[in-house]
Amino acid sequence: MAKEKKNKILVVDDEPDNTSIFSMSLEDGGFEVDAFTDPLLALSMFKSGHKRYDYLVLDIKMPDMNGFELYEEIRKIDNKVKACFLTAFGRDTQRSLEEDFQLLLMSVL
Amino acid sequence: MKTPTQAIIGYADLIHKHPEKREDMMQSISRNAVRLQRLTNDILDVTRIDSHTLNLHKEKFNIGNLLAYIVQDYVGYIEKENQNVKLFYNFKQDINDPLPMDADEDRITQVISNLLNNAIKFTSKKREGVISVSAERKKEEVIVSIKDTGEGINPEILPRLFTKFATRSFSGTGLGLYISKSIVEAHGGKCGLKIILMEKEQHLLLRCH
Repeated sequence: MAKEKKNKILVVDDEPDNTSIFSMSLEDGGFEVDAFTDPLLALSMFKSGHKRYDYLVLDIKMPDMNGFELYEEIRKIDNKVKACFLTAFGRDTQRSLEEDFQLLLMSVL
Repeated sequence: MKTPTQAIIGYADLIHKHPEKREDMMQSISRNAVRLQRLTNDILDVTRIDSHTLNLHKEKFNIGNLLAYIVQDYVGYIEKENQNVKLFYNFKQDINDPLPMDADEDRITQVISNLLNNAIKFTSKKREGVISVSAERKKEEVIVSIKDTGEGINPEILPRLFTKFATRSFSGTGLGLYISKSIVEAHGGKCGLKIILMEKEQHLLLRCH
């Protein structure tokens, strides 16, 4: 029987607890997950071409490079990858509505 | 407050499905609960300040002993959390003379801790950093100075540093200095306190009686 192909997800969030929780939850859901707390390191890994991802789960507010900036850089390499953005701040919704982002998840707590 | 709350709920949801990681998750839940408690206390302090109900419990204590205790605590904390940062402290000999201060000891601890937390927060984890704490007695005043090799205070934020939610940190609430300033002001004229902030230095002046 052929091994079922798992969709690959890249999670980037500067909060280690968030990357840990998202990774475990997504793996429980049947995805293959790589997680980074450093957006620059994630971008460097993406540029190395070692792996392709089907989806990105990106925190918006991060030091060095925010989620939107990271997504724009990644799209220069792979313009087919889809993204889901995470935020606890309502003002980020305005930007996501103005641009063609696939999904914005807001912290509901 | 959303971040630690999310972490607590997230781990609490996952703990049943991953019993092999129970120990690590319990530690994370505990760590985030403490973080949430700290944030809640900050919000409560701000509420008290804004409603003019911040009460001080003044008592006589030796400021030299308090400084030594706080710094010792932070040395242990920094060694555990950020091995790239070293904390040095230097108290001039006469700081050990009994120097009674009539003030709210817990609140003075809070002010000094806020200043130390700022120094730690902005001394990058990516490269080696040094925080040096010194205390010097000048007649009836004790001057506590905290210097760091961090990125320095952003000049744009300097004018509003003592206002609420003024922060460039991704982990702070921006309430620490507002609360510290309010504690200083609440002590009024008799026990003089003053906070002076420069780009990479923070000074706390304590007038003792």
